Amino acid sequence: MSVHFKNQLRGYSVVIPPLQALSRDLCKKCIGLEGAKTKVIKGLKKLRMDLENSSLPQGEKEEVTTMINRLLEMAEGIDVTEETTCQKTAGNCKIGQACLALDAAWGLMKQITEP
Amino acid sequence: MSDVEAMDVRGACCLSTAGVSDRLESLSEGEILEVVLDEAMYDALTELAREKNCEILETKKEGNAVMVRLQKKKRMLKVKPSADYPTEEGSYLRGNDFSPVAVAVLLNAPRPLPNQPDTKDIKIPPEIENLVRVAVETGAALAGTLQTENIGIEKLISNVVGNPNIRYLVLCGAEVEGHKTGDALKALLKNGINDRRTIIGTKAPTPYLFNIPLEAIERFREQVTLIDLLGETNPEVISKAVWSCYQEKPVQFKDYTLFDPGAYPKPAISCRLSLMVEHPEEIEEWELDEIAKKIKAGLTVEEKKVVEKVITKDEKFVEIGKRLAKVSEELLVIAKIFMGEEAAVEAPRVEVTAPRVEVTLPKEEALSKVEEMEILYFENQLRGYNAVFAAFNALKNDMCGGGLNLPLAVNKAIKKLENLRQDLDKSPMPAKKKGEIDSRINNFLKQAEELPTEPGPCQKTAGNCNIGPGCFANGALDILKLITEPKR
Repeated sequence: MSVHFKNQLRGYSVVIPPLQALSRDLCKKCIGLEGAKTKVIKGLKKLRMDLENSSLPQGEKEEVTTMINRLLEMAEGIDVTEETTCQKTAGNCKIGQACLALDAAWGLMKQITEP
Repeated sequence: MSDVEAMDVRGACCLSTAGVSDRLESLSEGEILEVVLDEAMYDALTELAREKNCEILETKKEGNAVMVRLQKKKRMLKVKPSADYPTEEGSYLRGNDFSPVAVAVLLNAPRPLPNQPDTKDIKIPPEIENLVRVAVETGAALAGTLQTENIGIEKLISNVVGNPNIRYLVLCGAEVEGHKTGDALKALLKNGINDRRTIIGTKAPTPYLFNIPLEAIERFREQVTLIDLLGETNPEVISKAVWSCYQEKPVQFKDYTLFDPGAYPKPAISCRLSLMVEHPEEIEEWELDEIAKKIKAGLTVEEKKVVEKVITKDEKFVEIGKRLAKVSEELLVIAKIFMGEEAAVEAPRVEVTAPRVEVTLPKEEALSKVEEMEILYFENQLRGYNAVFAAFNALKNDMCGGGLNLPLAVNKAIKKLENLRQDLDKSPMPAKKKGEIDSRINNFLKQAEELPTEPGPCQKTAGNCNIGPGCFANGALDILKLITEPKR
């Protein structure tokens, strides 16, 4: 498997569980978690598009596609209420300036700088 | 360059007989009159200049004489706003259309929910509402709240360019956390946008202006000067700022020299948001080029979300009740057919109403402010650990499980949790709450027992991990650093 796809898959595998954990928190009603979920889903779909256009052997493509689909399923299952609002502005989230969902998820993805 | 006409009236007993009065009257815009007169007549000339709507440009003393240069005061240009001004709806008040100032008060409050699109439903804190009211009452053309760094700014632009009389924009109120709208607006006026319709040089997360013509953005930047009062919430200061903007003569307000410069010398722009991108907050950076291309080509960028009506539990019961009633009526008709009229006893009408649910909450003793902050501190920390341990558990199954940094990070987390428990012991919070938090700490410590704590070889040096210098395990532990409040 190419290093790029391997690293991205490792990244998403680490990012999704904290988002799932946060969905059991007040983040469930938060636009931050909704945004992070959307970002992950879009990122995985983009990865799938990149994979289709890549020159990877068919067998490997199928293997990566299966993993992407599994991660997509996990991401789509992140429980967010239908109507969300920023919990900071709602006065419920008082952790400081950061957003647990967005910053944690992207803090982890940003660890990947290669290739 | 203006022509200068000179009049020497030294020795004259009166400025009128010397012809100065008539000449000042007949001065046309741009013409400059230089009057040389006796020093004793200077006060009379300044009075005459005021009467004739002239201003003194220069005064020079030469012995007993004074040289004064005057010109007619420029007429202030004011124009009518566009017919549909203000084009965009929002949470604002409209004041005097000929005022040169608009006020944007940043809004830190929950945004309206999708099923409450009417802005009247937004709960605006009274102190913010007061700032808006004070601004309009002092004389602003428009004053309203501003919340988002994309659609919010677009609506503001749309309304401002519809009125060329607006030459100043006062930005005030506390920064909108999570949106950084104040920072985005400042950056827009300073740097503009790039070809991906992104505001340049802002910390705002999604500063995309997809729905407004480029012409309107450029006009907005040229038309208004920002009065930066970001963070200011004192109504008196806002009021002073507004007042300063419409003075005829320049006045000093903080670091700004303010006066009404008249309308922007180009016609109003009437525009509405295209809403080609209704949810700019969902756009990823890698999508920007494609979206910019589509906007240029005039294509719809995203499909409109259909918000399904949410049916509550109570509404469901009522609906079921109505259906049951209908079924009973139909059964009655069938009974009449089968058994004849005498059997047609009126069937009881089924009426179903949603059951009333009453929940009695256990009475809890009121907490002191210190206790509240203590609880918040521990709750916030545990929210962080919740995410950290979820990441650790995922990494256990990755190559990190046999590596160096995951066990090190886990050991650090254990130490931090033990420290947290020591802090909890000393905390003045109620014993019941203490017990709850302690049990949650124990739960994390229990989870830690299932995680690797014995360091193995670094997977980077072993050549297995090729993500770059970063590290997932350290990144996971760093989630705790996101929690900065409350300080202890």
